[in-house]
Amino acid sequence: MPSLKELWKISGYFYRDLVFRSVYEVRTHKKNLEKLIRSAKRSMLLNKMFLALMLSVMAIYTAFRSNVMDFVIFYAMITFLLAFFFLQATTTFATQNFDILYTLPLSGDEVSKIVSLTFFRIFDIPITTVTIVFLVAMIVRSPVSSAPALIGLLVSESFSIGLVVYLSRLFYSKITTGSGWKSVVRILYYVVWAFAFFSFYAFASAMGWLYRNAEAYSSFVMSNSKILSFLYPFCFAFLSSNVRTPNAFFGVAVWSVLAYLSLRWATSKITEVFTKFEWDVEEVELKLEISSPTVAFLKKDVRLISRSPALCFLVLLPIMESLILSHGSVSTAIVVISAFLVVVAFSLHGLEKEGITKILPVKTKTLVTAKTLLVVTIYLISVGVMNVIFAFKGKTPDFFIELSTTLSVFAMSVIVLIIAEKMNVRRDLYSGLSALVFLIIPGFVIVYLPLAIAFIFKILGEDYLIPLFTASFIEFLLALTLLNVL
Amino acid sequence: MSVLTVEDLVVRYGNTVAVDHVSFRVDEGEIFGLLGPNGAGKSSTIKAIVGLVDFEGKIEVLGKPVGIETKNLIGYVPEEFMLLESLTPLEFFEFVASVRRIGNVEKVKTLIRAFGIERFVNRPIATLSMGTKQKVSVISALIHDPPLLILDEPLNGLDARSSRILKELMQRHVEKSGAVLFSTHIMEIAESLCDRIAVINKGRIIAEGTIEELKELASVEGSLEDVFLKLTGQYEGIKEIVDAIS
Repeated sequence: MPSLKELWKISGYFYRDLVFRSVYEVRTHKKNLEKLIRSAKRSMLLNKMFLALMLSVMAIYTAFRSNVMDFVIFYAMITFLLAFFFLQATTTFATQNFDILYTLPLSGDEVSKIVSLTFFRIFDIPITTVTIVFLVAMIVRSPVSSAPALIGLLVSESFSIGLVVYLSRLFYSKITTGSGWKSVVRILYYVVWAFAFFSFYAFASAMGWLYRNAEAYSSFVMSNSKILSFLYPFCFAFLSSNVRTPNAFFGVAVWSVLAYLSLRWATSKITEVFTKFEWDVEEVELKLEISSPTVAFLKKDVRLISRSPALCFLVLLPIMESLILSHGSVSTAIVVISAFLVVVAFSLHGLEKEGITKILPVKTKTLVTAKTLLVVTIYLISVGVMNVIFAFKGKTPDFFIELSTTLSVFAMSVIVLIIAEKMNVRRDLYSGLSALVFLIIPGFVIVYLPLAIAFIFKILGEDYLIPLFTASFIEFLLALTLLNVL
Repeated sequence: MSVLTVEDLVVRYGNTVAVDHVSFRVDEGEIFGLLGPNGAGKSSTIKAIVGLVDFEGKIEVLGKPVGIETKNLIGYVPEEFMLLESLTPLEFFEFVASVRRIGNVEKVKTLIRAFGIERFVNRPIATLSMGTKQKVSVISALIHDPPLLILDEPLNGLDARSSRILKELMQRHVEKSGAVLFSTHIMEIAESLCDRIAVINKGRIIAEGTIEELKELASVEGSLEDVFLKLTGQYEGIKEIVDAIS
């Protein structure tokens, strides 16, 4: 029976294959194979280091504050952020072939462990780093609190893995399968899937807001400590900040057991989710609907998005964000939503990483137009959702700002996609995080320039709507011109 | 008339030269075989023709330099699948047919029935067997009636019936003045199908002609396999290797 060390070593081969494929699929063939392998490893390492740094900063900040709310937010954010990044990797992970393991003298349990360890390797550095950094920081601040703090972090990490496996299982087994009358059931599962993830996202977003008002909410938490100290992540937060209640100890014990069970469940189900599919074989009517190339790309993209939890999440994110931000002002909501759309445009371009579009007679204009129409549609749906909520609350939506920003979003998408096409960076978010950095800057400049101009005019006490619209319209015309010369 | 002209083709991957000044031509009404050992440069040559890799030299399809305009003149079956795996075959054909601006979908339906994949057209491609995926790949290359078919190991995984259908389709295609560039490792198939053959080794074409011309060149009386092994310098030592292993 192989030891854990041996299983870890075996998982390393699959992980290397996963990393290589995530870059090799791009098929640029501009580098030699050795350079390609080095580039793949470097790219993944950079992604991991970036996330590790981000989580470590949060860990140190939290450890050196003794506020209960800071710990609550930290644990919730760790669960959400890890789940978010793991979810981005599930599409690539789902295509990893583990079949060879079944031909080797390994038990089902050992195969499960190897698959789980390969999955863990995707973010091994961020998880290990944040755990060590948080533990060291806690020992320095308060050695007594370091033990519950560490358990709290491990529980949060386990929940994130459990959450991703649960959502992926729901997605792959219920949403991507079935047709005909099952479509209705599929939509229901879609709602359950989206609701489960986004309710957690909403919770984490609210945590970000609470972060800024942690002091104010601490008194509320303390006055309700009897109930809250039993709940996750409050029980860990209470003990981490030296507030000891019997409920908190009891809560830590219960949630630790649940986290252990969640991790065990995730390990046992991971092969079922990512390696085994059962499909019905049925005769169907051979019906083909031929459309224009632009519409064909649109339909193809929508289909691919609806079958990938990572892409689905990304596309629904601006819409979800509009739901959350509808509690604030229009301008804040638009600023945040349009920022997400730069990432969406990049990810939609990443869908073309497969070689098939290179052998088809596809013009860059067709590709950019189709993706831009999708980006603008997502923006309009997001704004539409926000306006409906505004209407319920008796607020008047600002159509003029929304129209202006639509023009900027169109221009941003066109220009970001043209740059991505010229740079030949057809990557997904998981493998192309470093390439995205180059595209975020022009993307943000295009989206925010008209808003910045409007802001300056507002400060000067002048009318800002006309400058806003003019700047956006100029961007739109520029993008249209670029699109026509392609 | 030449359907495909390749002149002085060079394909580089970094410092490695995969294809080294290769020239050949495929005429209408001809099945042209491109044979070579693994890593000889066959697939790289083909990838350059279909626009998957950068190259130096000249490639023309029906007199037009390769580019977006020639993509509808070529039907390509790659050695490795180039399919959108989360789509179903039906959705995939719909996408390819739309991008290629095909008005008549009856051809697609006929091909689906001919290759016997009606029961699988509504399942994600990722879940299909290798043979069924190969059929999807072959159908998507044939749906637009291109004058030039480029088939890189097209019979991989196909069952006997589908193999026969594809071979018959290739013959019919060249009878109707089309052309086929065909790459395979199965010498018996190349021998029975190809009108002319080019043998490529280490990135260079080392022999070209009809099977009789190649036999004469290699001074071999036996099969195409014997000729091929002789030309590529792989003939010697086979018996000793087999003896040593067994």
